[in-house]
Amino acid sequence: MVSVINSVDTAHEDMIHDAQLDYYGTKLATCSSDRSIKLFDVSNGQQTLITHLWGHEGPVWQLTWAHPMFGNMLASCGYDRKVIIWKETNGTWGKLYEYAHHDSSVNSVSFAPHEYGLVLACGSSDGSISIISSTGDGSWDTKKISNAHTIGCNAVSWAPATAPNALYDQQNGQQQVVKRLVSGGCDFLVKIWIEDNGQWIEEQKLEGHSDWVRDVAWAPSIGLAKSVIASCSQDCRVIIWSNDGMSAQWDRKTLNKFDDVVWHVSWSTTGNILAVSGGDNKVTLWKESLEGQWVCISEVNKGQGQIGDRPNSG
Amino acid sequence: MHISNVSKMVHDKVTNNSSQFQAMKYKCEGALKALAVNKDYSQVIVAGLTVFKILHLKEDGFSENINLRSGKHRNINLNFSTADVAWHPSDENIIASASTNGSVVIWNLNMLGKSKQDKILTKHDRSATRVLYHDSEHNQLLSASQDGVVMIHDTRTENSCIKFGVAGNDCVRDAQFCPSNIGYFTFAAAYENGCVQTWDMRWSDKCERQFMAHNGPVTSLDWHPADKTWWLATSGRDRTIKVWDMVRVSSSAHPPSLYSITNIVAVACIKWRPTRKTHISSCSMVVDHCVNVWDLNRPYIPFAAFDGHLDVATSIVWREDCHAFLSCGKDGYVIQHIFNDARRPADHVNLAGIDLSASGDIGHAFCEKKEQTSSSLGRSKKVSRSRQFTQASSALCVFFQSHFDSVDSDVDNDVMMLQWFVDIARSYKLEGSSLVDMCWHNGDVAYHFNKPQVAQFWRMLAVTYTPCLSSQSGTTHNPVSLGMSNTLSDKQDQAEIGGKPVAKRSKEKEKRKGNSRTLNPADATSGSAEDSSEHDGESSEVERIAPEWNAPFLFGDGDGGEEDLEEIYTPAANPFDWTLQRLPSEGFQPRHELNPMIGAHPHMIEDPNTAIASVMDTLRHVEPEVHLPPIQSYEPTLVVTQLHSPEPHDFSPSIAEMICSLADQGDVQSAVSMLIVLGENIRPYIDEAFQECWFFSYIDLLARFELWSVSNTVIKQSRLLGVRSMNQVSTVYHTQCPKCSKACERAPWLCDKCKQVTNICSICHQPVHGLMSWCQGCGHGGHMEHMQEWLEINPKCPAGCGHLCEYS
Repeated sequence: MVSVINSVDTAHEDMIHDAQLDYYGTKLATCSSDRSIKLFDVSNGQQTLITHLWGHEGPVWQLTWAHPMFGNMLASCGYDRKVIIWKETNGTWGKLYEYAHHDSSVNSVSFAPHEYGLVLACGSSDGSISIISSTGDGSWDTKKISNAHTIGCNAVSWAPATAPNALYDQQNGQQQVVKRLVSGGCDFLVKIWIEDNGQWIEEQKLEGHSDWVRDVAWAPSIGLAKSVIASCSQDCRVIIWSNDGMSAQWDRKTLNKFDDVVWHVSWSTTGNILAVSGGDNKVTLWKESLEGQWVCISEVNKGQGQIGDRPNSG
Repeated sequence: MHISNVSKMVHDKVTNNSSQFQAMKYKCEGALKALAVNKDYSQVIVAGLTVFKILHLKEDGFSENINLRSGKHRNINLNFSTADVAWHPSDENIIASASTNGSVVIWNLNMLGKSKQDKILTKHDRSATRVLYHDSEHNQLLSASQDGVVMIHDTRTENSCIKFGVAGNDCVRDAQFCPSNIGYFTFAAAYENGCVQTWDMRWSDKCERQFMAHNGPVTSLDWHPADKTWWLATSGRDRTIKVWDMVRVSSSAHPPSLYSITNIVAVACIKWRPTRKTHISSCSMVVDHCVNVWDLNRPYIPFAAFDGHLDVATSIVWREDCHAFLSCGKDGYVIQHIFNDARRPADHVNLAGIDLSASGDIGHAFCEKKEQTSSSLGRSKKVSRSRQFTQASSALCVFFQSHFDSVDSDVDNDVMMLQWFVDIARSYKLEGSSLVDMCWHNGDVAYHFNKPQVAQFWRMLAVTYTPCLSSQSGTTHNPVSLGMSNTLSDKQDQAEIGGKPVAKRSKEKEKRKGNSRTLNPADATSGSAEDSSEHDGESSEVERIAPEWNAPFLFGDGDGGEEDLEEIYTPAANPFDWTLQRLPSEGFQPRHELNPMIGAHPHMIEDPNTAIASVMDTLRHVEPEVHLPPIQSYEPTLVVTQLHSPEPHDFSPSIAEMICSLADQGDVQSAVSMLIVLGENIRPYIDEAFQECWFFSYIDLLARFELWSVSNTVIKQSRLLGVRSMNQVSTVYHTQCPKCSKACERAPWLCDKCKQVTNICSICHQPVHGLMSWCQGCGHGGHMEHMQEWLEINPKCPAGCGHLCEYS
């Protein structure tokens, strides 16, 4: 059995929906249905509560840390249709900006690679995706992709700024970066969006899931020539989409069909390990073998209430 | 089905008979404010400022029965603009309505003619907000108004009414009789100032009880319908729904608040769900168009949400069966919702959160299963679904790498531990030494940290770029072309070694030996005699070592080019590796002195045969320690064979390819380090955009591990403009005014605030031209020589500020 070194007592009053480690892996942010966000210092194997942030009027679904070059900054989104950007100034955390232009629950939020400046994307149950960017003088610009996903958008993730596609597309002018992001929604689709002359347009529509897509994650490209996206869905599958960087063709490979809904997929910093977290409270780690097969290299779980404990359905 | 686990974790028993209702909607021509249903749920009145009609409520849909606004246009006055309606509890044909002009109108549907207005009770000064019959005393009609007064009319007589409250007070937003089985004579009223009052209808002088319920207006209230439950729910514009325990303990005391639910926006209207003690429905004032049903025990997320309205809902009426209800909205729709169709926001929430840190730790938050909780409390009874909804909680764990169960033992357990990355980054030498030395050093580093593949690369580079080699490329580079020609057999051999224990090994060897013999009938004679004897001895070694050398390790996925390079050059590199590491040399007498010329092997050039012999010797001893692939022991024979190949070989494209392949495998660390070390030798062969991309990736990784000095070296040593410029930003240093401590932004010697030059010498009080030194602590300073003199005798600042100045 796995021994867990740190079991963090969050003292959240309701379910935790997201836990995010910051850039250096020293701070852990959690958000919960109880409308609050908590920050923990998890360095040195300890966990100490740094602060408790109140500001959302409803459950907080997801969090994202900004690159440290912008300071200690965190964005959160929630059921109250808001996106809140939090910032630490002189040791105290406070709201920096609040975005409330969605018509339904905001399910996902993600800061863009720092190369683009302070930019974040959020996906909402109203089907739209907003891209919020700081103009640098304290005000914020927003762009909206309406009707990105019918019924709702569940997840957004940015392509790394060094995505090799950017190189191929811009043979001559390499300075211009191409911004891309991927989203997953209730229409079972994974879509790739590209910014073209300031407008976000749909570049790719990836079909493969047979139920709501719960999470998408674009792999960090550490010198890799290809783009890789992982998506997971309520159809219990995780699909790895890959593009060789040369063509517009995305290859689909099913990583695995799990026994339960898969909630989250997350890439390691170097982009070669995929962590998958499912409804059975397990985390599995996957790595692509040199033959191109995805193999489970590790499995961790808290050993609580898994198989056999499921409530009977019906 | 496991999916059904989540999507149908129906926390509520939806009984079969609920199917007797079906979802249906009806569109009216104007915004609706209120609806009321008659006793047997066969008819429904819908009312608004421009709508006032009675609909048939059938199983399969709504249909219009009577439009009370029909008739001549001029007859329609403000009495028809309705804020609330109520159906008489016993007489099907009597309806009461509250009008925006303050009148309370009694309608009698039995009246002949188009106009059904029976009585008009004009008593209120301002718009009436609520009208309601007492559920037992059917003649008692309550009306509330914005003028601050609640009235109870006796409908039997024309003009008898009791007033509660003083006209001109805060608006009454809502008022409601307490269910007669709980408090027969009690009613509660909600005020715009946040107050809630309860009154005894027999005593109009003074309210029974008054308390502040909300910040800002109380928009709605509802008594809990269940027996002996003195619960009063109130909702406010402050987005909360509160439940108060109204049990009469002390009439003056603020009643205890039992529950509080926070909606995302102001709440317009609330209604308890019948037969479910802890369920309450609400609709919002703005933004949120759905009707939510909350469970008091889970105040953060609605139990169920009902879509359908295109604008906010304004009123809710439950059917007796708790699985269906009616709502009307500003969009003009009246909708019958059924519970089967409800959206369950809680079912769509993410139950788990996961994140990986840079160092490979995993944070995992997950929902704790409910049954577990209750059984641990010793309750054997299965928790009902509706209870389950309330017991949501999560656990959060941080996993550290060393504690994973490895499912597949073949894979490195520390695959995600990036400590090696940090160590290697720290130990690599990227500057301050010759190219070859750095390559050797880095090769050793990589080897030390268990990256033999990368180590080989480095050593190969060292050999390739050894000055002697390049000067006499004509002869020494020949082996390459030979190696190329033998690619196929090499590969085959490797694949076998990696794949399964040697079965065809001997056969292959024979072939190989024959091969080499045919290739070099003359030159290899010195080696060939002992060659064959060696083979036998080594084959056992081969079998022992083979499992450790899996095919993938030998660039199984790379393309042919690098493999060849690798295979060919490693043998040549190894003797030097051996000498470098100063392995114990038992029984080994080097025929040639190799040590003084690290990285160069002139002997080999002068006399290939002897060099080979030495290589062979070396290999014999090195192999067990270095774990070379056995194939390499044959290489030397091959190396020498085609000494006379005429073509000199240019390595750079191959090396560039090799570096690219490293990067393709995600090893940006090696790729960048090699780029730096090789510098101009290799730079032109690789697309700069790629180089830049690797550099940025590597620098970003270094930053994650807070390896700032390594990162700086990398930036400094980069030959790419884009990367180097990283070190040329934020290089401005502002001087500080010694008087006001403000940074001097415009000019370093002028303070904008004090309007004074800042470069006055603290000792001679003259502006300093030339060298000035000042203390960074207090900002005082002066002529360099003056300061030196002063500080030799005095530790404190010459300006007299008392600061113990520090100069480094």
